[in-house]
Amino acid sequence: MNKNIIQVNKLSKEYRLGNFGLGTFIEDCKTFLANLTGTKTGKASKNRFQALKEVSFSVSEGEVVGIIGRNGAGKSTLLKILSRITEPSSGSARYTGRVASLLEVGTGFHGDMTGRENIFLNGSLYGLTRKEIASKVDSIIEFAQVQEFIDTPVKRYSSGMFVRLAFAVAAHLEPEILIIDEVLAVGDADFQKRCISKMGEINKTGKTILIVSHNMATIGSFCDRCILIDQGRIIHDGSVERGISQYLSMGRVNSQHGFWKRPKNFVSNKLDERYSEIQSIEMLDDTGSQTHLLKCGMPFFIILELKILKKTDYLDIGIAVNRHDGIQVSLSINSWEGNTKHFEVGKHKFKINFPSIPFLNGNYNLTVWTKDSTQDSNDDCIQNAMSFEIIDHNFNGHIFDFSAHYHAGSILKSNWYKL
Amino acid sequence: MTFTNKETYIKSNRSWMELELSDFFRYKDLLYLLIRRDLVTSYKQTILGPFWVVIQALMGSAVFTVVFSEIAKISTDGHPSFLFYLSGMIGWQYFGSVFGIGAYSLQSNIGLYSKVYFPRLIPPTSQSISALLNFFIQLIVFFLAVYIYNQSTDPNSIILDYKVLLIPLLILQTAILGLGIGFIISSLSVKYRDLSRVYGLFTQFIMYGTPVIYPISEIPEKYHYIMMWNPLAFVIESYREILLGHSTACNLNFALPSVLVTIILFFFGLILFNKAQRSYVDFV
Repeated sequence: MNKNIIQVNKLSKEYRLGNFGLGTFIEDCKTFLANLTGTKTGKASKNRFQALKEVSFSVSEGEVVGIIGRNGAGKSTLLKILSRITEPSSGSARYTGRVASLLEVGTGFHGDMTGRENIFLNGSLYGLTRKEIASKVDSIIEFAQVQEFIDTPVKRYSSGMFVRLAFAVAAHLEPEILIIDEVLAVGDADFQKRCISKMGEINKTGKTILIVSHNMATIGSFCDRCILIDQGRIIHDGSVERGISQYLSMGRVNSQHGFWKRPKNFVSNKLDERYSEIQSIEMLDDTGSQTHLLKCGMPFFIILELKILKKTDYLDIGIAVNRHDGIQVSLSINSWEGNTKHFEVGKHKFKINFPSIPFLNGNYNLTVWTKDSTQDSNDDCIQNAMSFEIIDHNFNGHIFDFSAHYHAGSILKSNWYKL
Repeated sequence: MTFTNKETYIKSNRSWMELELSDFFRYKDLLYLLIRRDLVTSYKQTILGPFWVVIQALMGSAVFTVVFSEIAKISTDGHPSFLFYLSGMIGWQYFGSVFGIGAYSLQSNIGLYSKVYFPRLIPPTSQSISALLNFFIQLIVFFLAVYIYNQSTDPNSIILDYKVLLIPLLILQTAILGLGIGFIISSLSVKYRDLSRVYGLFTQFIMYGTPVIYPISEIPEKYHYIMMWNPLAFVIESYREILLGHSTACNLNFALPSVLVTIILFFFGLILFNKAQRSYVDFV
């Protein structure tokens, strides 16, 4: 069982930044001439970015490895190289058997073709023969729960049906190595649960799985091993628990003192055009002083500075709290509280009052995002902008030791009446 | 599983010559399914469907007949002018579509290429085969036109004989040539898109440089050696030989340079394409 199935050796990948034009063309010509005449140019261009820096690791057969890291850490680049979509700048990788990499579900689906035809096409893209697909087609259809519509063109499918069918094909590929990039983030909760259990089943048959996810709960419950990548290097390889806690503590680098300010040139996501930018986030305790230590049952405040770049009528502002293991335990949104979603261009400052903290002792992270509710993705998102700690418990003026009830997670404020 | 124990080795700067043809044959079912997909979906949501291809060929030949034969009085080598242009169009249009498929192969398949690995040659190959549908529709139209022409004049004026069986060879050469030149353009325009702009211009240039709307006999004998090195000249003239009975350039003098140039261009294109496909998703 324990032989190495994947061996990655000093893999590096370099990208050239900026636009291609006459300048880069001249540079290309110079390099080409230098190569021809055998002279080394020596000086590397400044406009280069190392996405991966000499990454080495090996994976044994049957392992489930979670790859985590912040956006831009190099996870996707690694997967792309292992899936043979692009080649490394230097270094090598070796693996035995067939790889199916799900960087997207439904690749190659054609809207005019029926579900059944698409199953065959999609399966063959991953290297299955028609015979192999024919033997699996019934269980694919059953898993996707699209029996009635299987001979209907997929462009008439609901998006849920489409995703279910696409994942079902992927789950039935039976490769020796399965590479998954965040595809589990699609579909409804029930379907996601079935996906996870299907993956568990796949793993039980001795298949190797590499999974990239930002969902620490998935990584924590599913993986045997965790690789943490930051700025193109592996900074942790081994225990899942330690990898996750190290990853989450990286978020803490943002701020440990209850204050976060947008760094210059900070890019949170790759939107071409955004409505808003979160400028600063401040956490205050009940006395009004800046802090990262809070008490259960007591009030706290968030001061939020927002810059609106484009007038909008649909802006949601969300404040989420995640527990130390990554599970989101609360979410507050401006419009839920009856506040306006209409914003004019310019700076806006908010004070948000949370009358009573329900969380128990432990470490938490605060995430703030904005989203135009007509768009699919977040407008701006400061993931783990700051961490805070609930240090002791003050509930209605009484202090209790809740550590015996730690797994309770939170306290629901309740009023008691004697009848 | 068919290739369970196959070892895959990924490294940088592999040799230009590694074509991985064994992979290509392992994915033959994908090739089949892609061709089927193209054929099934090509005329979806059109009312006239394949008739557009017929209309295109007939209209094109009619316009050429009026402009070049009637107005410009360019010779058609003694062939009935409408059939002369139609035969030229059939060969030319298949070349044109394969050339386009090659020239945009990397660019138009980015959605697939950036998400899953499979032999990159499969989509252009399958599309070139699917494009034969239009070719054969036009060929049938040509046969009908010949039938009508024979009925209206002398029944034996144009006789189609065993030579028709050579058409597959011409198709093969056209496909290899079109893909070859197309791959060169596609690979070279990955980083700098200028060349894909040249594509349209280039197509016209090839068309007028090839005896599509004029017979090669119109060109003075002393310039024929130039035409010999245009691989498409031999192909188009051979279609005339096969479909209309006689032509000037369907002989070994033209065939050898034509096949040679075709093979050289194809391998040159294939090697460039193979080099480009390995990391082109970083640029597009």
